[in-house]
Amino acid sequence: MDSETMERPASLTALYENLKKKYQFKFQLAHIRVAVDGVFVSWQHEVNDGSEVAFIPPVSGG
Amino acid sequence: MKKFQISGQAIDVNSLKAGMQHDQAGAFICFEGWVRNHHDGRTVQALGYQAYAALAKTEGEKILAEACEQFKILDVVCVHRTGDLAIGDCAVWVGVTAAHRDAAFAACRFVIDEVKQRVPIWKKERYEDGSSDWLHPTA
Repeated sequence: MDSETMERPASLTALYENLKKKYQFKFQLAHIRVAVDGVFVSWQHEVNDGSEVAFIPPVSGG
Repeated sequence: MKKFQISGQAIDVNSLKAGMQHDQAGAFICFEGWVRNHHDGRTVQALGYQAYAALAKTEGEKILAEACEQFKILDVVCVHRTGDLAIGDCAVWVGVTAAHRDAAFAACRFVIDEVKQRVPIWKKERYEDGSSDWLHPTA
C-alpha cells in the first residue's frame, strides 16, 4: 500500500476534501465512512499525530 | 476461534456446519452467497473481493455480537472470501443455530444484510468483454 505523510489537518472532513481534490476521488463525503486506527468513527472525531485514517467508500461484499 | 472470519481460501461449508452441532439446537439456518454469472444485464466471468481486513474483522464481530443480543440464538458464524472467485463459488457463509427456527431465520437475515451494508469488503467484477469494475452500490 502506498503511504503519504502530511501535516495534521484541522479535521477529518478537511483531510478528505483536500485528498479528494488532489487525487480526484469520485465519492462525495456523504457516501464515505471514516475509520481512525482501525475503528469506524464520526466525522467530528479528533485527528492526532500518527493516526491511520481510512476513508471507506460504499462496500459491496456478500 | 473467531466467529467472523475473512478467508483467502475456499470456504469449507461442510466443516463449518459440522462445527455448529449443538445439543440445545432445534434449528440450523444457513445462507450461502454464490458468485453468479450476470450483473445488470452483463455477463460476469469471474470476480475478486478485497477487504480492509483489520476493520472488516472488527465490524464483522460487532454484527455477530448484535445478532446474539437481538435474537434468541445459540451460535452464529460468518465467513467471507477474499481473492479471486469463479462462477458458483461460495463468497459468503452465514450459519445460525437456535432452539427454535424463527430466531434462527431472523438472525441469519440480519447478519447477511448488515454484512453487505457495513463490512469493508469490495467486489470487482470481470465481464465478458474484458473490462472490469469495482462495485459501489450507493454511488
